Amino acid sequence: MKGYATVPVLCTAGLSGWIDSVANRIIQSAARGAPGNLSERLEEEWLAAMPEQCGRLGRLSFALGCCWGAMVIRRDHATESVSVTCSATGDRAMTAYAYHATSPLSRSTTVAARDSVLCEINTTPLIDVMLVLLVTLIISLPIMTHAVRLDLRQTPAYKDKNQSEVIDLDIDSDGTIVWNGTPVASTQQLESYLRAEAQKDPQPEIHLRADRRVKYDFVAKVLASAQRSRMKKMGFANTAEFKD
Amino acid sequence: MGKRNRDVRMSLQSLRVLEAFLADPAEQLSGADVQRRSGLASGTLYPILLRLESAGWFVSRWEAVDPVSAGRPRRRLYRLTPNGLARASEVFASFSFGRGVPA
Repeated sequence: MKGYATVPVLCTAGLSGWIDSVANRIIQSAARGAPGNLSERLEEEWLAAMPEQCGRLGRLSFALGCCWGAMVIRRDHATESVSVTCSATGDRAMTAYAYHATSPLSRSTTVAARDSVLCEINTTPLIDVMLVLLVTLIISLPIMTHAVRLDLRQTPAYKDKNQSEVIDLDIDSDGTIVWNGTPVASTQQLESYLRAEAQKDPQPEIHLRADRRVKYDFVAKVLASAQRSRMKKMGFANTAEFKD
Repeated sequence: MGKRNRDVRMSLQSLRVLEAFLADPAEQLSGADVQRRSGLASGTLYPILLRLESAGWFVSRWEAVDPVSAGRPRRRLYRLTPNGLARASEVFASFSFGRGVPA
C-alpha cells in the first residue's frame, strides 16, 4: 500500500539509548531503596560500574541485579539494626514475626540474622512485585509507541488495469435495445458497436438486462450478435427478477 | 560501614569474591573488577562486598580521580584489610587441609 503518512519503524539507536536510560533509572531507584547512609554511595558506585558492563542487555541485567542487591542490603541492614536493638534492650518478646519465614529474601547471610525478629511490616515482597510491574511497564510502553513519522509521496487512487469496462445493455419489453442508456436503432448498429468493443483490450463486460415481458426471440438475437462479434464477457444482470 | 570484625557466613559466592582479591592482596579492586573476576551478578556481589566490609574484612574508598579529566565517574575501590587477609587465608587454608568451612 502506498500513500500513507505514518509508518511505525523501530529505531535501533533510539532503543539503545532508551535501554541505557531505563537501566540508569532502575539503578537510581534501587539505590534510593538502600539504607539511608548507603543510598548515595551505592548510586554513584553502581552508575560508575555501568559503562564497564558488556552491551545493552548486560547493563540492563546489571541494573536489575542492583535492584535485587539493594533489597538484600536493606534486609541485611534491617536485620542488623534489630539484632542490635534486641541485644541492647534484652527484650525478646516483642510483637514480631520470624523474619526468615515470611520473606522471599530469606536466604540471608548471617546465622544471627535467621534467628532475629523484625518489628515492622515486611514490605519487601510488595516492593518486589511493584518493581517487576514497573519494569515491565517501562520496557513495554515505549516499544509500542515509538515511531518515526515519515511523510510519503501522495499518489492518486490506483486503478486496476485488469478491471474491465462495463456496458449496460438493456432490452425493453417491446424489444427496444438500449446501449448504455442510448437506444440502438437496429441489430446492425448493435453488431457494429459490439465489434468495436470486441477489439478493445481488455474486452469490456456486457451486462444484459432483459425485461421479463420481452419475447425470448429479441434476447436470442442479441446473444447471437454478441457471439458473432466475438464478445467473451457477457452476463445477465437481473436474473433475480425471474425467480418468481 | 562499621568495622565490627564479626563472623561472616561463608558461601561459595563469598569465597569467589575473596578469591578475586587473594590473587594480589594489596590490589584495590572496583566492584566491576570483582564482578569480572568472580563472574558473580551484581545482585549477589554488592551485598557480599558490603557484608565483608561491615565485618572488617575489606575497606573501601573512592578512587582519587577527577571525573571530568578522566572522562568517567570515580569508582569505589575495595581492598583487603590485614585482618581480612588473615581470615580469608584461614578459610582457604582450611579447604586445603580438608577441615571444612569455618563458621
